[in-house]
Amino acid sequence: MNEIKIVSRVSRHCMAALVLVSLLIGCSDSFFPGSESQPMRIGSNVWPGYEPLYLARELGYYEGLSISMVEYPSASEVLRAYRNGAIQAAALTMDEVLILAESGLDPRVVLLLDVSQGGDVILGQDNIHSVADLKGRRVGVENTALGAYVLSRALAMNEMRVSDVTLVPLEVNEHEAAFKAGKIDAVVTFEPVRTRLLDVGATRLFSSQNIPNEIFDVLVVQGDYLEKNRAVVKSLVQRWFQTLEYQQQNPQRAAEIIARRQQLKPADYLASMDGLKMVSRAENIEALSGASAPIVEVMKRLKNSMIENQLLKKTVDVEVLVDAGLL
Amino acid sequence: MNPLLLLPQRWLIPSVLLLFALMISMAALFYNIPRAERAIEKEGQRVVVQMASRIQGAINGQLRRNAIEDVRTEVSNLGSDSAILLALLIDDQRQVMAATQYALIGSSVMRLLNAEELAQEAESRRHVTGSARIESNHDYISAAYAVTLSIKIGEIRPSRVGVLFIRYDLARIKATTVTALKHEAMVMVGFICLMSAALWLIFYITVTRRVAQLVASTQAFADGDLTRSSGVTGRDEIAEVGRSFDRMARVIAEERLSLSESEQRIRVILDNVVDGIISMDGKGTVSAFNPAAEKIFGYQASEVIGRNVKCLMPEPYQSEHDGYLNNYRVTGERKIIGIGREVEGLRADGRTVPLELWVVEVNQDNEHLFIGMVRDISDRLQIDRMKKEFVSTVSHELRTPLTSIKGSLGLVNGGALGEIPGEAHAMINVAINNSDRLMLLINDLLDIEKIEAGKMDFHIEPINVMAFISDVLSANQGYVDEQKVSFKITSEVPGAMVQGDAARLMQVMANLISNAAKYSPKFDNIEIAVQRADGSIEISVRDHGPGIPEAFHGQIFEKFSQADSSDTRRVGGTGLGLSITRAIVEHHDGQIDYESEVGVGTRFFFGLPEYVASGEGGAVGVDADPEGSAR
Repeated sequence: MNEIKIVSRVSRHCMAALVLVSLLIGCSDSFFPGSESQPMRIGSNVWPGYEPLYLARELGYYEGLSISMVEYPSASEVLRAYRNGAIQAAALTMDEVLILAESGLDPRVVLLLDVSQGGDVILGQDNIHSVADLKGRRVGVENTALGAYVLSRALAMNEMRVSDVTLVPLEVNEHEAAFKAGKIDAVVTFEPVRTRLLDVGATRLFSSQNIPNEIFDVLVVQGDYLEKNRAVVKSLVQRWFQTLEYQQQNPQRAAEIIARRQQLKPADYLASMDGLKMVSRAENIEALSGASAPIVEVMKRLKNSMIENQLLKKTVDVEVLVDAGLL
Repeated sequence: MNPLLLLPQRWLIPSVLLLFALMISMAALFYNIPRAERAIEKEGQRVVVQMASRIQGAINGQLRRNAIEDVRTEVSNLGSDSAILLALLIDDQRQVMAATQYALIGSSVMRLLNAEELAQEAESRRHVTGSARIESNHDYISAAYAVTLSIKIGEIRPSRVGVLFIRYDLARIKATTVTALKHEAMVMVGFICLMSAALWLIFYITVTRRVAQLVASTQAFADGDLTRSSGVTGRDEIAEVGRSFDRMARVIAEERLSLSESEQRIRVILDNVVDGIISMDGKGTVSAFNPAAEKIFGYQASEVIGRNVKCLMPEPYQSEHDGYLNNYRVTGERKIIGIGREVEGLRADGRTVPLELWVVEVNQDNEHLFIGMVRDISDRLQIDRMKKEFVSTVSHELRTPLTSIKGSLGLVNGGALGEIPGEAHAMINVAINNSDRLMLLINDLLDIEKIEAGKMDFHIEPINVMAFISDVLSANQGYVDEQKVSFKITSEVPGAMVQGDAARLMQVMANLISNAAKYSPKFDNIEIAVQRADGSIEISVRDHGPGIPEAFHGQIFEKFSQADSSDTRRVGGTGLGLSITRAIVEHHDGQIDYESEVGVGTRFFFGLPEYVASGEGGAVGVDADPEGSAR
């Protein structure tokens, strides 16, 4: 009888232990769930106007936010990563945003970063003196990004056609080497390559000063990511303005930090900033807000210009691309 | 082995462990396989995304430079990864530009991909995006990544879009992993089996074997092998149990030994005692019969043990015996138990034998046992009879001549033969006195003999106690005067009645008064008192004599006893008086006793049941004693 009692007691204990173990196994997934908020990866190439994003990182402004910066060698690579879904947000030019929209993607412009005022240029070798001189010449251009727009505008303003020049598709990271090696007669490029090539005697043939208020740098976020993680994006936008304030108040310190990343001397960096203008919070609000926001007009003009130059194959609805609600 | 041990510990514990461990490992296995598959899918997806986007970037660069052969090499290289089932570069016309299989180059993608994959490819092309997703049957991952094809003439921005397609195998990796997991689980199960076996062995050596030994030892011990030791050694709990067992066994063995020694002694006593000793249960079944009993009854013990004790009784006791025991069991009323009595026993040869019997009741474990002790009293009865006959004969033979002597001396002393001289007169008086004493002695002897033989007659009638006392005083006045003492009545109970034989009670009083007178100082009072005490009438006689010595207290009522035998001469008396007195009082359902203090005096007192004339008549306690009549 005792034996039987022991058996039943032992088996009762075993059952309890088994239940416990299976519960533990069953629950372990819910004990260690995946992180709730999706991290925001922001891609960018090297451009002085994007540097406050990195300055903010250096200053620790992203702490507590799941924001990480992803650095790419060229805008084309940023676009590719954005298309592949590897990054959720990107610093791009407005024409690039329109091309993304043309592909049927859902980019949302949440912030104007800067406007190019000479930072984008066409530089020629020393025997080239004007855009007209480019006829029949090899022109290096990042034709999968802003470069195509800049070149098309320069050719159009000089009443030339694409077939008048020989295109050499090069991404911005290849520009300096190709130009210095003489593989190309001219290059469509931007800061900081611009400063470096001007230093070695390149001739400025064309710049964004010739097409003011056309080249805007903006921050775009994938539409569905923005819907689900609005708070994160809003935090980023606020940090952006915070960083601009820091930069205004501590220009020297900010320049030192930024120059290191740009591989420029602080003075050169400050000089390169002459080629662009940062867009303040007030200007952002003014440009993005309202039913007929000024930026929408800019985008419409840009769109028409791109269609005219065959950079866009079909029209895009620019109004839906702007989200001013995070400013 | 005890048949109740269906599941001994040495099996139970390893089995439970085995079961437990198997269940855990099975649960882990069934939990791990899907988890591992999920992990493989996730990791595969990550690998494919990495690979596809890397190749996509490289192809973009090569196409930008129009290096189509480099693109083909790049795609071919993917074939070296065994997990990649298929890699294609598809142009904007949906024709294969490059592939892991050369034969596919130039063919339409529509035949190469399934509908799901074609949809994915089209999606990728339309949005210029890249994605990797797990096929709906979870067997592989398909990745479609858009690439920018070479620029067309006159175009500033390349507009042609191609797709890099990769089909990545999951099924084989999953199968390999699941096999590995199962193998791992089998190894684990095997290991647990080994552990269980080891545990069984350990249990067998450390517990089961020793417990079995302990069980065997206790069973042997229970079967009577008191010298058996537990045989368990060690320093653990089982060894402690073993040591306790050994200690207990030793103590029990010692006790058993001393018990058997004492039993031996008692048996020797029983075997050698003169009295027969017969043990029986409540129904009278004999359970022990000692040698003395064998001798008395002429039976062997074996012939009697198991039979009913009534076989040892002659009729009518034999027939009545069941009735006695039954009666006793039901009413608790004892007939013979605890009281020595004389009975007759029936011997094996049919003769009866006079016995003295004592029965002792023993309560053992709620069971009534009776022990009967019998003594053959044939010889004693013979002697008693001879003694009585002798006394009777002698008494009668003495009394007749003594009567003549006394009568003759009375006549002589009364002057019937003429005046006798003064000296002769004194001598005759001595002769008369001694004749009287002799007569008294003979009467007493005859009384005793009558009492003992139960032949004394009593004429019971109601007696007025105070009138009786008055008669007593006048009857004894002469003797009292002679002794130069006087009576004094100190207490009276007027109208008190008792039932009794007045002549016999007179004899009691005469005895007590003569004793008191004999021992009283001259000119003292003998105090007579009558008192009512607890339903009886107590009559006492007190003197102020020397008292009865302490040493003599126990035998004062025995036959032929006097405190100081030297007194016999001085005060006269036979030493039978008090014995007769007690017999008479007890025959009246009374008790007699005395108080005495040396140098102060003695008080004898006896109580008789008070007789109440109205109501029940003569029913109060003077009937013949039932026990007495049984004698």
